[in-house]
Amino acid sequence: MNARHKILEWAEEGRIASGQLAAALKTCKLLPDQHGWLQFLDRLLLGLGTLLLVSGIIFFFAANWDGIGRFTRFALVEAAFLVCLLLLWRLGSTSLAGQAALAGAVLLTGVLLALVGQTYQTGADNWELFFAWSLLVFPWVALGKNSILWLIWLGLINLCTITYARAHQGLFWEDDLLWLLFSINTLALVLWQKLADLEHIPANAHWPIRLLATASGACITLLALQAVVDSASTASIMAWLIWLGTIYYVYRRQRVDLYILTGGVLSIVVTTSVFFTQHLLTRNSVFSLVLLTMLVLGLSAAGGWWLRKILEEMHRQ
Amino acid sequence: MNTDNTTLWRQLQQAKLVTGAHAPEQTAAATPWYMRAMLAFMGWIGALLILAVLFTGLSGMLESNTGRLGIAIILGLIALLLFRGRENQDFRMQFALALSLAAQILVFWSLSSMLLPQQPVVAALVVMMLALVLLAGIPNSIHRLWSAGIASLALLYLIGQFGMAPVAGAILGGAACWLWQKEFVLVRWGSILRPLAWAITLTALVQLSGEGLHSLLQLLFSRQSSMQPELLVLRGAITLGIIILVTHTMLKEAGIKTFRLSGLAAMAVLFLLAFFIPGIGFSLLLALVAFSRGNHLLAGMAVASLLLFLSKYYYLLDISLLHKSLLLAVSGLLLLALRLLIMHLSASGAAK
Repeated sequence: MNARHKILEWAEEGRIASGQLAAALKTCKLLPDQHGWLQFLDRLLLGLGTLLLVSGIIFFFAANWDGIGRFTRFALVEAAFLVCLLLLWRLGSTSLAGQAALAGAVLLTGVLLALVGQTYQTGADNWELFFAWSLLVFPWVALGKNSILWLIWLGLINLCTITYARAHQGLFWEDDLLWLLFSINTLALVLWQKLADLEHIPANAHWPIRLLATASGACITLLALQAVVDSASTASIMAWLIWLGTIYYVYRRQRVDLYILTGGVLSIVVTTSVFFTQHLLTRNSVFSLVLLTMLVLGLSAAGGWWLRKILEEMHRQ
Repeated sequence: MNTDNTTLWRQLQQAKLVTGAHAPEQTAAATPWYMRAMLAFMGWIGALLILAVLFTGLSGMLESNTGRLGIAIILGLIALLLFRGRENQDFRMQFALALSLAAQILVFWSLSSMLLPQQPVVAALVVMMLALVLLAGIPNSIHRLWSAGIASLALLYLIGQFGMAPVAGAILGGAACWLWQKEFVLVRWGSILRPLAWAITLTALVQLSGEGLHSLLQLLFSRQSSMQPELLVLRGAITLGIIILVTHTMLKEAGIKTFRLSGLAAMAVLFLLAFFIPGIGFSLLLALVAFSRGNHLLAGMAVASLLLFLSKYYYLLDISLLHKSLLLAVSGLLLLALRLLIMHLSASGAAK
């Protein structure tokens, strides 16, 4: 159980005087000391300050676009780019400021490419911009070893896929895009989990894995829902079942991640509910609706019971 | 951080903060936010299905306010009885939640047809009172969050009805920061006040995301403002008051004198951000309060909302893109300057 929550619970029960609660949390190192505050302020002010400054620069370009000459535009963007690279070189990629500079360079690469496309009217599609962007920044992202940069890069790959599918609608079936996105995000999830296991990354740093699992789960659930609603291919349903089985094996048997298991339960409850809705509501009677209601509530209660059982097991360990 | 009961109790015992040789028996584990979100979502779906059942089977009774209120009372009483069970009896709690939500929807429907549009203030007050009674009376964490959400929305509506919509974000944001800062002092009522704090925080964030830049800057740059001057002054005063109160408390807890250079600089920067870019300013203040309370979930949410506000800021039409760019760049530089000042002062303090 979360230590902070436990201490608050004891205070609520009167086991710790309310005037002593802050002292109790400090004793258990759950409140920041002066060093903790300095570290937090350093990161927050640096990150937010950089972000607002870079955003201001981007907004400035957007505001003055028509009035700025072609070469001035390139000069401004490339100057900002060079400043980021200079900071990265001086500060190193392991420091926080260096990582912020690297992130700035990654984002400005995209700005530069968009500027090229707009200025020279190359006729390139959007997907080509995202593709080139992801290709060019890949070495930096790989060397940077920063989770946020990797997620930005994966975001670019997803955007590239979506814009490619939109540009070539004739080549894609309706659910092909979902299959592509599912494949990309699931592959990223598998690789990231393997790397986390190899490098013994602590569980509380696994938020990128949860984000990827959410993306992968959302795609496969949408595919399953499409199959249920359209009574179409069984391949989606099979893939969904395999995905669920794999999630269960990896995140229940090999290790426990309650967030990912909750996502899996939600996927089951939503898909099964839609399935029953399709087959029961056609009868159009009060009895069908009552049955459907009890099924939905029963499924979600069963899912909640199972998750709570796992939570209690984790609590006892 | 996961630590067992015994270790925590021993640490507190050694610091003479608790009495008793042994830690209390382990209670049930706290349900994480994502599980609660899932159960709340499914409860909401269940409520809609129950309403569908009622509409299909009892459509005649639902046509009148009396019929709707009668059914709502019956559903509510059944829900109340079911809520008396233990929170981990899942089917019972889910069913009770769905019944209660369905009952409340029927009540809101009846109130709106009886009192709107002639008496909107009375309607909002009744809804708020009902929600607060349910917040205090129903001992279920998800239901408490729902009731707190309804009460916050009713409060927001009331503020708007009194012509103070442009300052609603400041009022709600201030209330949220105050509640979170008082979390330890008011811990005995934590199970009621914590959902309320969460609900007001989320309502404030939603309100701030919709608020435009009704400000002095708009007045200066565009020679007109959609906000009356008195409201502008009131918003400034409320914002300044909140910043001083919240920052003073945090600095006092950290053992720093408020009116030293770093404290004054921090207050000035926070005020400028909160007044001119309300969403970003409030999120930053919330992140600081959350960190001071060791509440990592709230701090994470505050940082995420900072990013969302920044992306939404591009689309605000109150002032031009050029003025927005200047505001952002200046704000960024101020934050970086504040960081340098704090690091410099702490380094020179350490050297002494």
